[in-house]
Amino acid sequence: MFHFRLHLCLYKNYRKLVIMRKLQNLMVTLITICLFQTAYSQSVTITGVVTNTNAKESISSVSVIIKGSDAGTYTDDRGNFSITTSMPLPITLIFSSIGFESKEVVVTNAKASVLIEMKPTSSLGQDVVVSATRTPSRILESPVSIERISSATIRNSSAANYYDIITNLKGVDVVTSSLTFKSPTTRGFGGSGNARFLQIMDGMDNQAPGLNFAVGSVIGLTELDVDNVELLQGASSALYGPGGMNGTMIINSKNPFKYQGLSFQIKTGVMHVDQRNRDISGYHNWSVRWAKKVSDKFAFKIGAELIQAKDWVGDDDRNYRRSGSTGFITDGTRDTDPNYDGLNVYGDESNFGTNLKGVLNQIAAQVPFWADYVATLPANIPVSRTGYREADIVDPNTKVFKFSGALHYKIKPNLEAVIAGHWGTGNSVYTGAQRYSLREFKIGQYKVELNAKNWFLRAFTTQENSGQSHDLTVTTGLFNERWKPGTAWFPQYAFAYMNAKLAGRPDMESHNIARGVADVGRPAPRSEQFRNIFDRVRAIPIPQGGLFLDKSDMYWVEGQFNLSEMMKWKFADVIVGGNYRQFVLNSQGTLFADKIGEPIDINEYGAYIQMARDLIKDRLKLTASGRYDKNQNFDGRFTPRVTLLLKAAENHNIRFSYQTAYRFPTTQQQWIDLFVGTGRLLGENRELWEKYNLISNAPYNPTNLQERIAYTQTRPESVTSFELGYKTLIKSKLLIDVYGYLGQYTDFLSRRDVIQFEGGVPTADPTKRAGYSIVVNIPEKVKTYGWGISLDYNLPRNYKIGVNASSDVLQEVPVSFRSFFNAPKYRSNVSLSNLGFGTKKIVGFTMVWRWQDEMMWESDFGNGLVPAFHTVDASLNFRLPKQKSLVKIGANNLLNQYYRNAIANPSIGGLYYVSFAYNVL
Amino acid sequence: MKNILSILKARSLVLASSLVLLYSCNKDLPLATPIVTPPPVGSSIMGLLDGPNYTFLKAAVTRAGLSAALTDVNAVFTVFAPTDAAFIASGIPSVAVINSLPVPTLNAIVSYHVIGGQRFEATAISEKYPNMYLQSLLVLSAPSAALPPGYRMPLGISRRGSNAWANNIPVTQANIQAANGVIHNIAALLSPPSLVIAQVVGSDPSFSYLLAAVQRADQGPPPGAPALLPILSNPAANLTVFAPTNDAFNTLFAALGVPQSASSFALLPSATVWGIVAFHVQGVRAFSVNLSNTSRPSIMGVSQQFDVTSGVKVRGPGNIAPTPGGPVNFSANVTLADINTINGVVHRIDAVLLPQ
Repeated sequence: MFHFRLHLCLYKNYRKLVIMRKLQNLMVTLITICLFQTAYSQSVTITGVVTNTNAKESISSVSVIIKGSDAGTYTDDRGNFSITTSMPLPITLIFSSIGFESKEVVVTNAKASVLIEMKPTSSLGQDVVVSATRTPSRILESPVSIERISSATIRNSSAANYYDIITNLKGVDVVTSSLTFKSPTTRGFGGSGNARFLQIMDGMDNQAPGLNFAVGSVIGLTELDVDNVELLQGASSALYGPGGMNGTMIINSKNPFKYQGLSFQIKTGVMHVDQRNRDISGYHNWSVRWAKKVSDKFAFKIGAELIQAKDWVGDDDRNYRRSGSTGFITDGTRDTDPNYDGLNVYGDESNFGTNLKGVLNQIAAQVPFWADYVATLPANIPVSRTGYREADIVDPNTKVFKFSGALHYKIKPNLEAVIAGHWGTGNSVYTGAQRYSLREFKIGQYKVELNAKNWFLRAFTTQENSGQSHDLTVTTGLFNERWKPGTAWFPQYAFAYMNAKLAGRPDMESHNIARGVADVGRPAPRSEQFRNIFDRVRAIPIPQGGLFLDKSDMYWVEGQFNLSEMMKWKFADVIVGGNYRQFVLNSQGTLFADKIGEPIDINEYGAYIQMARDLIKDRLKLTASGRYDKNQNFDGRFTPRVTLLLKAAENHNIRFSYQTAYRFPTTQQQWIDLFVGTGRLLGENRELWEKYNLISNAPYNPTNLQERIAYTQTRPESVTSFELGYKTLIKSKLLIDVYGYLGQYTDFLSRRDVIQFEGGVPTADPTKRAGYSIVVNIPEKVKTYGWGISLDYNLPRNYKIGVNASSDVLQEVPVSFRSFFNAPKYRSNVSLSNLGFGTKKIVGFTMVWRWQDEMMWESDFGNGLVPAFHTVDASLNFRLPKQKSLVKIGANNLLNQYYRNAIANPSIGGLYYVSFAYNVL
Repeated sequence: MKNILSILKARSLVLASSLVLLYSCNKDLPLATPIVTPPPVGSSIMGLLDGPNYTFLKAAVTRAGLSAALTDVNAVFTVFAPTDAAFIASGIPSVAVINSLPVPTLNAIVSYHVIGGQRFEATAISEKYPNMYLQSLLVLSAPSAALPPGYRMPLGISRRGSNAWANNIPVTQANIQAANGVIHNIAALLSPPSLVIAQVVGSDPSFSYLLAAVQRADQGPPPGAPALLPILSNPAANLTVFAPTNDAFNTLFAALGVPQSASSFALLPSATVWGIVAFHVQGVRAFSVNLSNTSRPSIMGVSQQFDVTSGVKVRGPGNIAPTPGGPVNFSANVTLADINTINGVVHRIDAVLLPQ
């Protein structure tokens, strides 16, 4: 036995070693390239400083390029720049920065410092986006719908966390599972663990390999390190691979060559001011970033962020009638329904309850003078155990600590090597099939990258460790069992119930008396006794306890080449790329069907090509892309995309796109093997069906015992979408963007409940049946359509107003079909800001109002109507130009009117803060 | 001009934004809503007792201290209500007599007429043999941790077609609806028993042979069979005993040619005596009204055969054959029916039942 385990251990380490070696090889290559540098010849160094014509303040991060060469630099945080070149004087320097008019200056004398003044200008519509076509283009000329958030927007926004700004873009829904856990989506199908929306951080897909949710809001970039966020609405697999069914969000960090210096931000606030769910408590968000350009070749940055607060609380105590993985909200409270199952109340779920009649029948067999009375009671008397509210069981402290660092080395002016690491840990709460407390959750992403003008190579890994994360439902249910097993609790209840009834008490009162008797000695919420038992149960892995162990990893290698400049006969701009990824699922058998020392591998690879060509020069541009992906467990898939951009007139662009996207079943949909009380969640892999003998003894449809469900290999889910859009900039003051789309989903991936009977013969005997939740492709085609419109208007005196509205609709849905569409039919944002008024233009404000329509929410955890809601965020900003600092007084949900954006997710109230950010202007 | 315009614009924006603020009022978040059961309609049981037929009962309930319970419209009871005529028929001639009874006695009597927690409409009363074995409101042993079920004075309610009974008392009018239950009028008072079967047998000299038989039987029951006296003494038991008188046993002794004395049981094997006594006992409580022309098993396995065509007759398989030395009655007559006890009902019979 010992030898066997040793062998396993060695094998595991060997695997890690192999993968580490893959990464090491890449790094060695990088370093080798660095060493074979050619020395440069005689050179001159030009230095200077860039200021703003209006306020005479220095401007940082201004791009300085020597005309006619690849050489370039950026101004530092004091506006200074220094550039060395071997080109003979005079040379022309090009200065450019978003929000300023570009300027060309001829330098004839390298000895004198160059003083440049740049004139502020409207940046409306001038943003450059990369993700739409994987090549830079003005946002105005993007062939697909895209939104961009700049670091300036983040800096000035009233949002307490930059993830919240996404909520105010058109067509975007954000699901808030916790203060620190937010999941954006576009075009429907929102959810906490949204597997249809891709989040990419500095080129790295940041989904947790085992848990399948994007961890961006928990452990992403620190706020000060975000350069920009680009958000592609709608299908985008053609360029970004499986996953981007509904959209892709790309967050890019600040390059240390461009953004230099030390900056920090201290944000302190209060939450729970009305003490609805918790006492008034503080909100702290501190972040720091230090970037240093050591030389023209080498720069590095490090950053850290700490968020600490008492989390929002899921306080929806409405009664939920659960059956399998579905259910509905119904009337009833703990005092008026013996089978009460509150949405955010745990331990009272039906799988921990029982039919009291069964217990009474057992008693009647022993107590003959009750037998006739018991016989007159209904055949079904469902009774649930007494649960605990979320506020009583979840660690109230939500914490996020992010730490990151990167080394950038310019091998050549146009070739940069990057080694970067992001590590984070946190406590948060997440809603999936159940509510999960993520505790001491850790995730690390590490990459090496080579960026050239026309190509890049990247390798990274995501290392997940679920720490002490546990399932709240399971933990609380087992907590109750640990305190007093159902085999003791229910008989006590039954005796007391009968005694109360025989004394003439009405039925519900008898139930309540019985509960009082059975609950004698029940640990009081948050008492020491409670904590002792709860902490013990949550530390034991599922199914005996509530802990889920997950140390899954992902490894990824990708590259892209822009062939356009290499092609002799240039019929089009051509980009090719490809990637390979490997998931290593390791849950020690607690979540997946893996075994200790024998993780499950899933391998995927893909390649893409994109061709862009002006059909009519500067009028009509066609882009065609295609991507092929193969997962070892599924047939390969080809996804094409065609876009057309018609420049009807200067700054009037009409875009049309045909896009396809698809996703393979998530790692959980492939390999989960988890008993959740009512049944077993099963992945779609045939091995799992074989493991539970479901091939030879096929399960039955629980609603039709004539029908047996045979194993069917699932197919990847896909979507086809058409989009028409129009973007225009009128007089550099008014930016209008309009789109409409149609989408069709096929092979929609979902779950269904089945029952397997011992011997294959249906029976009512609960000991001879087993429930499974299996993964299926839904045969129905699901159609969606929608539109969005936004207007951004620059008013005189620095006022800016933005209005947007959007709509997403699901159509032709069969009755009783659960689509998990989860999008309001309409939503709207109105924003008003002024980033500088008064004589010195140092005072500013921002204000955003958001409204969303009511929507039907569907998830494995709960279905129900989410009411329409409004929120208002506002901030007052004071610039301190000399210190390059910004003081903000802000409020999120200013009016403290609680809202929930999904069933069973927390009620979100007001957050009020003061922040001081140093060296950010 | 342009300046004024822009100022106006700025002002209107401020105005617009304050409007937005005012407008953005969220509805309170939905929370759990109680299941509201409509308040019971109609008057309470106590209210109905204001009727002309219930002056005795109302006085009894009031004096017994049970009016509050029967007034509570949220409670649930089934009440077998003796009318004034029933009280008189049961030997209580006036309200004054009721008011002279000790309160605990009256409380026990009234409680014995009530079943808690359920509304047994006439149709809900089962037609099964012999009756529904239910617990009245009269507490004999309060539920406690040591005795979780508690024990209340049992009440047998039965129905055959459109006739219904509480114990052996006929229901004269059924299904009088109250907010907190249902009332069935009955023809006589139900008097709560105070003895167990063993005590009834032990205290009646005409059953002294039967007691001697029980004692002989318990000296050596057949293998695996229980002793009888503990069963007859157990308050939680529920039995029917057809109790032969001493005369009935003497007749049998004569036929067997043994002395007509209780000591003769010692001459018989104890297992045989056990068999004979056990053949007189049913494991259910059957009042005379519950019997019909059919056979019912005794606790020793062999069935008793009933004939209720005229009076109540009962016999065993052994009662058929005439025995040398004197005829044995073909069947036993129930000479005194329905002696109710805490743990069963006793019917006095004039012949010994023979299982073979």
